[in-house]
Amino acid sequence: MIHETTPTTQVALNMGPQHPSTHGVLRLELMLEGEVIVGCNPIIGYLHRGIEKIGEARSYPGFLPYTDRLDYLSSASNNLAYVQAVEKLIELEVPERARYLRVMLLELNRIASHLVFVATFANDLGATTAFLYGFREREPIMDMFEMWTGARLTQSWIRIGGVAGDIPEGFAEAARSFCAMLLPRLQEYDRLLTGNHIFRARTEGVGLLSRDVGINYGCSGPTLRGSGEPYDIRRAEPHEVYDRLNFDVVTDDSADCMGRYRVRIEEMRQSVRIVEQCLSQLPAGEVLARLPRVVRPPEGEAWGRVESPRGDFGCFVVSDGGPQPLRVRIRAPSFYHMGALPEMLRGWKIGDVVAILGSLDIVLGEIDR
Amino acid sequence: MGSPVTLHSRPAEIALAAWSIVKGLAVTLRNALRPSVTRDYPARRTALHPRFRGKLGHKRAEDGRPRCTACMACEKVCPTLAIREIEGDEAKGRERRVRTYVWDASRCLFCNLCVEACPFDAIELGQEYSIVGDSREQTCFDLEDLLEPAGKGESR
Repeated sequence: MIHETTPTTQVALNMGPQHPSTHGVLRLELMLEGEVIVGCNPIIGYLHRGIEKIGEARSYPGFLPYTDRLDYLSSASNNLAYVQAVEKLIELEVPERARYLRVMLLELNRIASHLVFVATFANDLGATTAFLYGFREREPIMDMFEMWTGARLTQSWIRIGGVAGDIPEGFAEAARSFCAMLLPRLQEYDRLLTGNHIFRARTEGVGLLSRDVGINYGCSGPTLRGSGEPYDIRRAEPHEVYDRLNFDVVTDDSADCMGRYRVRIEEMRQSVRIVEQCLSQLPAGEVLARLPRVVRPPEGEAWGRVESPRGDFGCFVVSDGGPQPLRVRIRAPSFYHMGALPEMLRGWKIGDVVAILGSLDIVLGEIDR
Repeated sequence: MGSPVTLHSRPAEIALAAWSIVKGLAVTLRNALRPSVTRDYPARRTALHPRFRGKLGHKRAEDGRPRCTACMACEKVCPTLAIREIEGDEAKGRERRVRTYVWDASRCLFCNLCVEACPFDAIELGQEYSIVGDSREQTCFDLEDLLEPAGKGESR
């Protein structure tokens, strides 16, 4: 126990599901001794839509738009995990250009998602200015998505066999100027937040998650990398063209809220590097492989794994040879972070809950599915 | 916790705090003089990109008739059953024309699968995004609402 406490009666306190800092409809049942948290029970399911079950009643391409609604801050990574699983089942060769475009879409999604993280994390800790900054920087990405895919948030642009359409004229220039704009803006964040006394006091040393506990709970992504474990699906199991791109797996040894925040800030810089490399290496060619009108993969099962902005996002598809999947299972990284949350909260005060919860960057859409 | 912020009223710290306020106000002033990044939304709408996926629309052929032949490809591919009640007239094959068609905006995911499935390039997701109504009936559109105005198609 970190804080000295005198024994008092334990009080149960519900945080959420309407609390603005629970990032959606999450309820935390906190057991308190005075102000100190002695236990936490995350109650999930308020956003349950039965997406895995819906997968069993839709055709293979027809389930794709539903996957956007899981982790709605980075719909491309959900699309990709599902599509990869189906492509493994039908052993489909994806055109080279499409692979690069997928990576580009994914990395732009990662930047957008991390910007929302910076914005909401700072807002939870009382820095409203940074909230507005994060959303301001995200807007050009949303505009680029609209230009390329026609939708800002739920793009559904990655398809079985490639992507639905090539980048339009002017997109490469827009992406390059965005990358050039973002780097100095990230420096501005560093001055505004990383060096801010209040922000540091509320995040440094708070919500420790040791590397071993993180691994045992199945944490992944920036949450685990913030504890010093350099585990990244993009490196551990390179999908698409990640093995040809230069980028660093960012880690931070501090294992606290600040470490997780720093990892995400640095990951945005790495994503900018990846987007720039994709733009310069982009080969010419087709973007969508030919597919039969009705997709009927042979009997079998396959995993699709993607490094989403939140971590190891997986999709497991079982086929019985018919036009609809027999089973779709989704591994959502935020769900596993929810399991480690009680460990991280124990011993901290109630005011630290928003800092610790915010640093995990959960999305309820993928937790509840 | 990390290093706690102490609030002793020492002269050096008061001076530092005052300097912080000056620095903060300088940032405020600089941003106040920057061009605005927000827009007066309902009054001033920005142009959408041509690929924007909004309200579904039916295109007309050169002769003014709808291009849709009621082949049901879009209805079959729609994941949310937002497209329904498609019926064509008595003609067969390519000469058949759609007679009834219902698109339910409240079910639509705007995923573009129907547009990609259409073999006759008869439908598109247009630029209209403000699709509102007081009831479920008001977000359902039939062929008359969806068909582009007459005359526009002839120039195509």
